[in-house]
This record gives sequence, structure tokens and C-alpha cells, in this order.
Amino acid sequence: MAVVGPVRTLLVAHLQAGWNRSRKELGKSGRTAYVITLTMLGLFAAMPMVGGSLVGGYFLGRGLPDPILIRILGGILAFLALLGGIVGGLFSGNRTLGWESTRIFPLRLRSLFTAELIAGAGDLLPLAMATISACLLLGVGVAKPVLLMLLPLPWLGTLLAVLCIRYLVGSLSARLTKHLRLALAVLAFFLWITTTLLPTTTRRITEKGRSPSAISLQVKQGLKHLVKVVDHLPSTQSVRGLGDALQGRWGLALSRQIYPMAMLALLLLAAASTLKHDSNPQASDPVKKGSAEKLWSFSTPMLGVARLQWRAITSSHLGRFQLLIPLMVLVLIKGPFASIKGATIWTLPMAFAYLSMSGIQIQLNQFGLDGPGIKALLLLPIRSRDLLVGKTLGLLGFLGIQVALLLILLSLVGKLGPLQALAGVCFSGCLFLLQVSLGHWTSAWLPRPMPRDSLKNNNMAQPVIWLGMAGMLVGMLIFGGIFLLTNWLAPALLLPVMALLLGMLFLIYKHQVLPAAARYLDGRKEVLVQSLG
Amino acid sequence: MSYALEFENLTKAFGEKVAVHDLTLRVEAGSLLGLLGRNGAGKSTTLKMVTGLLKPTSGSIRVLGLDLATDDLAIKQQIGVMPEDMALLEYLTGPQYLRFVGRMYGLEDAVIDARRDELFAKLDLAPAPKGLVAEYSYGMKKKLALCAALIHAPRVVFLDEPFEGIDAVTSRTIKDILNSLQSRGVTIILTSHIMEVVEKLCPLIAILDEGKLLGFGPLTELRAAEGADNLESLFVDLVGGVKTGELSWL
Ligand SMILES: Nc1ncnc2c1ncn2[C@@H]1O[C@H](COP(=O)(O)OP(=O)(O)OP(=O)(O)O)[C@@H](O)[C@H]1O
Ligand SMILES: [Mg+2]
Repeated sequence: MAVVGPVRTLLVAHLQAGWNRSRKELGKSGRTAYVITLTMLGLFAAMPMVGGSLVGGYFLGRGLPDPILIRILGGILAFLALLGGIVGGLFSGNRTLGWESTRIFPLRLRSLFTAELIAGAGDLLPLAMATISACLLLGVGVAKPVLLMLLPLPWLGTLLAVLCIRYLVGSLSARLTKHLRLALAVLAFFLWITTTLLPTTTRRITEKGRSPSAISLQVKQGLKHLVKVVDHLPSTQSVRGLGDALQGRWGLALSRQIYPMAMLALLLLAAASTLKHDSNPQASDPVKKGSAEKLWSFSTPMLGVARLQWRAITSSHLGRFQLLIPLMVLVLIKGPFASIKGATIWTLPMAFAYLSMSGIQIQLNQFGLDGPGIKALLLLPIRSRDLLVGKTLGLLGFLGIQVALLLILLSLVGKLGPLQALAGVCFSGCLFLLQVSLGHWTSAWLPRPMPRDSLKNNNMAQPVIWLGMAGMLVGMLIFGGIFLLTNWLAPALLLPVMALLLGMLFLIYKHQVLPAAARYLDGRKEVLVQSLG
Repeated sequence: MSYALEFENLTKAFGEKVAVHDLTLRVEAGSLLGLLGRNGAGKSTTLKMVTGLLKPTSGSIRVLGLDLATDDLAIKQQIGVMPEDMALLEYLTGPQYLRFVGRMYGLEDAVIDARRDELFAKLDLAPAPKGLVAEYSYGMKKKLALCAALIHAPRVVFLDEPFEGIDAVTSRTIKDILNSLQSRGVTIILTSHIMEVVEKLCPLIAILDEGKLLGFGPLTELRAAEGADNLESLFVDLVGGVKTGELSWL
């Protein structure tokens, strides 16, 4: 019998653990419900995605040697790689496999890296990106069967790029949080650059750019820029090779793949060396604490819980990372979004929505950061209701800091009137109440321990991820819709409407949600202890 | 005589706190060393450094003549470790976990399973407990961690508190296993707070306090030098600090 290699061993253990865990957590009925949910999701989200990409790929493929279509296909592939990599990295942290428990084994870096990449491909976003790009290219292949032999190249390139970028972004954000002060300084510097340089350029354009012809000129220039960038993308080069192959120039077609391959090799190398650094024992040393701890004083158990939750968030990597989000929002608003026409109307709600979204991992898993400490908490004489309110207050305090930061930053760059600002705060409050209410259930239903010393929190239970996304979508559609509609139809009413909405939600939370959630929590304490302890 | 373990000016600092301070120590191959010290003395930190879980701030470590800084893979292949917190993959079942560990060391599945059955039988874990490691009792986890540390026939074994939380019968079994390992030339380094066990089991003793080596040598020699008649009084004499008096409110 042959020896099983380390990569397969790591992956097998990863899959076994995931499978065992979901079996244990969901129980039989939960499993059925989950499968049904997934099937529905598959039907309503995955099928259109697959079908759409296949059809899109087919039409792109039919007209293929066309240079515009080449650019479009190349642009799409690069977009998929960047989107999957960056968003995936930001939300799921760097590591998919738990390394802590594998450190004592004689494990080569190469094996760890390979296993990490493969395991990462099983994550939601990379999986979606891989599927979309595969269908797209398959569509091309159906339209032009000659190309079928070459198509795996751009596909593999896209997939590997997603995985490497995801890892790099995750690792970078983990490092930023570790050195929070440095990160803040760097981002602030970046911000300063964008605010001092960008306004002058935009002003110059707007001054002379009032007439329609000037605007269209501007758009044309922008497009030219874009085309130039797309032309130089590795994915475009790769697709261009496909075009050459169609015209029978196979040698050229193959040599066109050298540049994307080289870029990919660079990416792989960067990710591997980052992983080497991350797997170094020193890298997992705990965050250094700032000042000496003061002893706490609080008047009620509820406030004690709030204080504890606040402390847990601010001392965790995840929480520290979230303090960077307001700055990122601003960079986005000042940078890429500033140039989009008509962006001003929706940037404000988007900014607040994004901010509220960023806390979702902790909001949906409110006991996660307590970890084994949950036992200590449950041993104390605290009512479930107080426990929940305490959690909410702690989370609210943290959101308050984030919102305050964002408001200060926005007013510094002059994007904000006081009424709008308050309306934005109300909007955040609405989203917050919705998410926290949902979180009261999900936290007691499928609790998972969250490490404080890493961003690796993609071990959220799958159903909770789906539920969270659905909740977020509903909240953004309803509250965001109301915000935008009011802002458009009757701007003067914006603040009263949003305040009224928030007030209503608060009453619902207090009188309906809280008692029910407390009853549910009463029955789930044992689960909390078992899953977190 | 060849050394299984050599520390040269080993130091580990966590910020201001120096957990292990300038430790120099050589352990001959085939020894059974008991590493003693009060809570927070730096025992676990030392073991974590040898097993690659922590990086020394300064100093060097050699295991079986190999330098840990350059040959860590070759070293890890030949050592077995039971860390303080056991570091098990809690969401695997016991047998799944041992499969995982065995394959990591490059063993064939058949070998792994055969050794597992033997270990489980010996440690009173047979038939293999149903369910995930997360559901095991504390002692069961400890036994599983011990199985994982031994399954690949290591030449040096590091056990952090193997006897704590273990029933008396299993404790005896573990002692037997360790004795027979030693008789076959395996080097064993263990920590424990149970002086009676260490006294009977470990011919060689090292005592750490506040990260520094207070005493090192054969138990009999140390006892003679300090004029103590058992290990406990030797330890208390060397380390000191026994508090007397009553609690004011009880
Ligand atoms: N990650 C860490 N960060 C900061 N200090 C640490 C860390 N790990 C250990 N220490 C400190 O190093 C010292 C030695 O700890 P260590 O765990 O090695 O003690 P020990 O001898 O194993 O104690 P015990 O018998 O209680 O297990 C302690 O003072 C501890 O507070
Ligand atoms: Mg210890």
C-alpha cells in the first residue's frame, strides 16, 4: 500500500472536519432544511449564473478574433480574478486550513501552500468565480471548438490568480490589523494624497467641462485610458492568443501565453513567500496591548457584558481591522467613485451600508469572541435578556466609533451636510438593529468560536453566511430604498423619515425581538457551551 | 556519548516578560528527564520552542545533533509531541485524527491502523470511542494526544503534563509505556507537578524557576547535594516560597 501524501492528508482532514462539524451542528432536520435552501439558491442564483456565462461566452466566442471582444473577455476574466481575490481575502482572512495544530508535524512549505490553495478553492467566492469563468470559456469553446485545447490555460490562470490574490489580500489585512497604528498612518497618508491631488484635477475638469461636448470628450478620454489598461492585462493577452489560434497562428498563440504565465508565476511566488512568513511561529505572537489595564467598574450585569463585548471586539484582530473600514470607505468615495457621474446620491447610503456590513461576522456570532470564556459568562447570575442587551450595547458602542470616524472623515473632505449625516446615522442604526436581531438567533443557533488573534474567521457556519447575506440584502433594499426615494422625492423629509423608521424598528426590537430571542437563548445555553468551550 | 537535546543560551521573551532566560542544557540520548518548576516557570515555553511552536528570541537548539533553525523538518519527523493544550483537531473523530497524524509522518494506512489498535487497547480506549474529539472527556483527549505523539515511533518524545487529569490505572500504563520506550533508547522529556510520579519515573531532573535553570542532574546526586530525603522537599528547598497563615475571612 502506498503512503498518502501530506497535501491529500491535509485536505482529507479539512473535509472530514467540515463534514463532521456541520452534521453535528445542524442535526437531521437542520440538514434537510439546509439542503433545500441550497437547492433553491442553486436554482435561483447558480443556474442563471451558469446559464448566463455559457450564453455570454458563446456569443463572445462567435465573434472572437474581433479585438473589442478580446478586450471584453480579457477584462471580464481579470475582473473575476480581482473581485474574487480581493473580496474573498477581505472577508475570509488568509488561511482556510487551521495550521496551529499542524505545526508540530514535518510539513514542507510546498505541501502547505498547495493544500491551502486547493482548500481555498472550495470557498464560496473562489468557487463562484471558478464556475463563472469555466462556463464563460466553455461557451467560447462551444462556439469555436478549435480552441477547446487552449481554453484550460486562461481558466487555470484566472482560478490561480483568484486564489493567490485572495491569500495575499487576506494576509495583508491580517498584518495591517496587527500594526494598526501603522496601517492607520498609511491609509491617512493615502487619503491626504487623494484629497489634495484629486480635487485639483477634478476641479479642472469640471470648470471647463460644463458643456455636453466637453463631457463626452471626458468620457471618451476615460474610455481610452480603460482600453489601455485592459490591453495590458495578462488575461487579455491570454485571450488574444486564442484569437491568434483562430487565425491559424498557433506559434504566436502559444507565445502570447508566456506573459500571463510569467505574471501568474510571480503571483504564486509572492503568495508562497507570504505564506512562508505567515507560517513562521513568530507570526502568531499575540497583539501587543497598549496601556496597562484599568480595573472595570459597571453598575449592572448588562453593562458588564457590554463592556466585555466591547473589549473583546477592540482587542480582536477582526475588530481592529474593522476600524480601518471608515478610511477605506472614504478612499473608495474619493477615488474610484468620485469619477462616476451621479454617484453622489447613492454614495452616502452605500458608505453607511458598507460600514454596517463590515461588522456582520461578529454580529451574527455574538458569542464567538467569548470562546471558552462563555462558560464563565453563563455561570454568572445574568438573565438571558440582559446578556443579549449587553451584547447589543457592546456592538453598538463599536459601531458608534466606526460611524463617528466615518462622519469626521466625510466632513473633513466636505461631502456632508448635518441633516444628511444624521439621516445616514439613522440608516446605519436600522441596518444594525436588523442584523443584531438576526444575530441573536444565529448566535445561539450555530455558535462558532472566533479566534481573537487572527482574521481567519471564515469558519462561520454556512447557513449563517447565507442567512446573513439574505438579511443584508433585504435590509439594504428596504432601508436603502426608503433613504434614496425620500432623498429624491422630498429631501427635506429625509431625516424625519429615517428617524421614524429607526424608532419603529427600535420598538419592535425591544418588545418583540428581545423577549423571543431571550427565550430561544434560554434553551440553547448548552449548545453554546459545547460549541465554544 | 551523543546528545538527544542541546540548548545553548536559550532565551524567550514575550515583550518585557522573559519566560526562559539563558538556558543551557544537554540531555544524553536515552534519558528520561523530568522538567520541574512552579506555575509560570517556563516549562511549556521551553517545550514549545523545541517543538517549533515558538521561536526562540535568542540562543540555539539542537535535537539529535540537528540544528532546529535549519533542519526543522528532519527533526519534526523524529520527535513526538504532546503540547500543553494538546492541540487536537477537535472536529475529527479519534481514528480520523490518528489517520491524519500518521499520514503526516508518511506512514501507510495499514500501519497506522494497526498501531492505533494496539495503542487504543493499551490505553483503554478500545473500542474506539464514538463521536468527535470535541466530545471526548479531558482524560480521553490526553490519551489520544499521547497516541498521536507515539504513533510514528519517534526517537525523542516531549510530553507536557502527561499525568495531569489521568486516572490511576492509565497513569500506571503510561509509566510502563515510557519505561519500555526508554529501555529501547528513546529519549523522553516530560513536565509534571506530581512529585511522586516524577520521583519514581525520572532518573534525571531539571528544575526551572522564573525561566532560569536552578538545578540539573541525576535525582540521586541532586538529593545528596541538597541533603533532601525526597524530591518534594528538594523542590521546595530549591524553589522556596511556601506561604503559611490563614485567610482573613475564613
Ligand atoms: N504567549 C505568551 N505571551 C506572554 N507571556 C507568555 C506567553 N506564554 C507564556 N507566557 C509567560 O511565560 C511564563 C512561562 O509560561 P509557561 O507556560 O512556560 O509556564 P509553565 O512552566 O508551563 O507553567 P505551568 O506549570 O502553569 O504550565 C509565564 O509567566 C507566562 O505568563
Ligand atoms: Mg505549562
